[in-house]
Amino acid sequence: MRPLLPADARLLTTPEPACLLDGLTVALTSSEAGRLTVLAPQLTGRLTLQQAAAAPDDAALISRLHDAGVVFDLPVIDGAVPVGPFCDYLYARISGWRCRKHPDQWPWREVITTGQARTQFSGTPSPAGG
Amino acid sequence: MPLTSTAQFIALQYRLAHLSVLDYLAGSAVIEVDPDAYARQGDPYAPWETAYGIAPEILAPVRQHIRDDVTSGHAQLFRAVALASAPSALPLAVATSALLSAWTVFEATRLWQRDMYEHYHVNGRTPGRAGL
Repeated sequence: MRPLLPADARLLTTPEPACLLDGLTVALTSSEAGRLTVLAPQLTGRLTLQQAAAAPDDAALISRLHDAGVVFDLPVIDGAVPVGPFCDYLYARISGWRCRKHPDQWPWREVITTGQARTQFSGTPSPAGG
Repeated sequence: MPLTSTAQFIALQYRLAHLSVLDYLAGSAVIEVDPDAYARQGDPYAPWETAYGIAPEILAPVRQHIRDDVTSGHAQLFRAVALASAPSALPLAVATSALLSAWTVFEATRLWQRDMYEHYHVNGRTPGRAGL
């Protein structure tokens, strides 16, 4: 595996240590968060897992993040990515965006789901649901 | 329909199509309907008729477009075209651009849906602020 941690993944240390990507939150211990901070610059797809995380605990952490869907196996070799793994990566990212939409940014989804949507045009009062 | 954001969304698709076919198809992947999901629950616009009270003929073109895509087996066109155009590897710049194009379309769908929501779901609030 050549682990890649996407550049837009976020590492939180407070209030609880965690790694966030596309609405997914993976809880970490403080020690793991510290290790991931050190390891993150190596997780660009250019190194193998063994090269990026020599210590068994580090390799286990990366593997756990891979299983959780925060780290991807996407080799970046000679300025290029293999097509199949990149397609897997692209569709996985898109799936994450689509399936874990944040309610604060997509508030109307809850409104529609709960049947509260109204059908009025702007400034034109009409009976709800009419 | 909120015409401004609808036009902006179409303009984005137009721009991506002229950037490269892979950028366009990466963006299309964001709004692609999963054939399995379509078989189970239909297209995502089906509930809009009742949720928003939109006349069926307004939604019909986009629903027909989705139906044509699904029944024609157009799922994962990005993968098919990428494998055909570069069977072994994609330059990193091309891959990065495709991912960015996909994200741009995803964000554009959010803004368009927000405008749809504000356009139809006033509910006593001022259009432009509702839902935010």
